[in-house]
Amino acid sequence: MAIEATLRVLNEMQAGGVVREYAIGGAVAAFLYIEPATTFDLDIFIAWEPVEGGLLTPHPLYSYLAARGYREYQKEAIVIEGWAVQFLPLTTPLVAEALTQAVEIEIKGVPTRVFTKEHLMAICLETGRPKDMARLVQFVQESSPQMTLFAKILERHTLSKAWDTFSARFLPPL
Amino acid sequence: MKPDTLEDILDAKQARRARLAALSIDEKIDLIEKLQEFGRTMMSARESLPQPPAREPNPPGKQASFASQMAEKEEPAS
Repeated sequence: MAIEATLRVLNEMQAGGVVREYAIGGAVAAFLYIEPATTFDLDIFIAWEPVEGGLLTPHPLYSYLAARGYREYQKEAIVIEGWAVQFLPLTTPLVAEALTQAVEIEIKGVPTRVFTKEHLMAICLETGRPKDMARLVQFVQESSPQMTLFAKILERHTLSKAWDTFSARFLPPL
Repeated sequence: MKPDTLEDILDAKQARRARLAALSIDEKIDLIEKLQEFGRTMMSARESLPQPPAREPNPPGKQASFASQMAEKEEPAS
């Protein structure tokens, strides 16, 4: 199990036109900014390439992987070089923006893209599960986010009110 | 030796969080992969434990659950 091998496969998929672009989101992305903890999935957000007729389907992606011997699944994830990779579509305009504005980084020498911390924070707020709320507190306390940039994201995606409610409830007053 | 106060414990926890948050990307990935290995070992150890015997099914004629008993009660009288 080594994430660099997984990322190389993802980069080959992108170079081969199977996916237009991808970025790491979810827990792994969050842990690059805050205290890491256990996670088994690598959440990969992708822009699906429409097949003939404009249909958006993950079928070509899974066929590509199956042809290369990746046929093991763990729940909704497909195992690529030891990592359970979950391919996720852009379910909201916020997630779509997070993908287009993802930043380039290198993990173990392999280039890849990851959501910005400010977008990850906004996604936590939008998703709103208890674990997202806990993670959002960690982002504020540990990652020194750019609050002006974050406020603009919130405004664009009508999350400012949700942020006010969240910060009044969970963040100590300044 | 002076016992730790709650404040000492919280401060130590906060310092650990700050230290882990400040690790490099590659160090964090190494840590996540080690945690995965540990988690998988724990899960397989749990799976290897003997399973408790399956519950015997209810004898015929006896209601299976509270929900089905309630449903029976709510049935309109014919």
